Amino acid sequence: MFKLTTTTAVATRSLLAKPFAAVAVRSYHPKVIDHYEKPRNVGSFNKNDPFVGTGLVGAPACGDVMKLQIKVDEDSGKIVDVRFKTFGCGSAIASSSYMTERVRGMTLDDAAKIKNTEVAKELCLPPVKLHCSMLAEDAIKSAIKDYKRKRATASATATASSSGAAEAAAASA
Amino acid sequence: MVFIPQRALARSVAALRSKAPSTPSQRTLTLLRSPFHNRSATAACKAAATSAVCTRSLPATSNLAINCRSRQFHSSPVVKVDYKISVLSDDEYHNVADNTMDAMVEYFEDLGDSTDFPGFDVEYQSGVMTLKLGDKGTYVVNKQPPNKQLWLSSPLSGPKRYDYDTEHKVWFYTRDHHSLHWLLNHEISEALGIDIHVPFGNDDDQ
Repeated sequence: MFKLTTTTAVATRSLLAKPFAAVAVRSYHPKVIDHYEKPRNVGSFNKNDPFVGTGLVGAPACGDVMKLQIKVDEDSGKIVDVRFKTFGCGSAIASSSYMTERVRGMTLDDAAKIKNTEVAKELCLPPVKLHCSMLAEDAIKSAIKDYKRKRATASATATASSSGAAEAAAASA
Repeated sequence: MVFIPQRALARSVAALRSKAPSTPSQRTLTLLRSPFHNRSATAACKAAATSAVCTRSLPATSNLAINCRSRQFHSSPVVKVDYKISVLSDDEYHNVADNTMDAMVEYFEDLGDSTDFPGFDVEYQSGVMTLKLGDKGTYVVNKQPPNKQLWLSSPLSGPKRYDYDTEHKVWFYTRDHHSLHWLLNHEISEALGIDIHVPFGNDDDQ
């Protein structure tokens, strides 16, 4: 029995020895727990869909990876649907979950303006967890960039093929 | 965004004026009066750095000289240095990161002892330094071994990640190439109302 207790204590200490030890004893804010337990908009879209922008940020080795995808209505330039998948701590999951709710229905320009401070404030993140809100900001920006890059390539291809067709028509005439 | 570290420049000027009133530093003073043009500021800093290095051999001034030299190199993003992320082995990372963290923690502990700023508290545990500045908020600097970085969380400017450049011996932010020490000195001096200078803890200081 005593041995078991010791083992548990050792295990706990080795867990605490990770970088965020200082807050390991701190409990999450109810808003974070709410998002963590009922994450909004989990899932993914086909990343090859021309109207989907994908943002993938973080690195598996660092413990946090966030994938955030937006589906955009080309005519209105608004985000019509959002999905995310996050591997990371409660705050990273909550930050991305909150971000998906926040950007739905927004124009790309407005969504790109969302700052990490807003996410951190909304979720009452402690100082050491501000990095998670930054990851969410990076993720949405990266998704928007990916979408814009796709559309630019698509319209360039369209212009090239139509001008190519025009040249062909001119040549045959 | 352009940072003009006037306080740093002024301090160096003062140091040079009182300790080394030779011709090179006179030239430095003139240059330093117009730090708003990037090129002249860079030249000024280079000149100041040179003078500082020269005065190093004078025993009474050596400390000050080293101080202002490193302030200019590390605390002034006006000097546009293109820092590069160095490839570090695990050992090298831990070595340099621990030196940085230890020097920083020691400095803030001493600062806590010598000032009576309300709510000042510094804690260091398993690679995480938590610095509480009362109603000015809480700073956290932590080691992030998987990507060989130091991470900073500032109540004023938010979260940032710093990579190490072995050539310049500096932890820098890849997005705008300012250094960790510059930001800490700048923000915490402002918060506490006193001029602080966090030491680097690298080979230069030992």
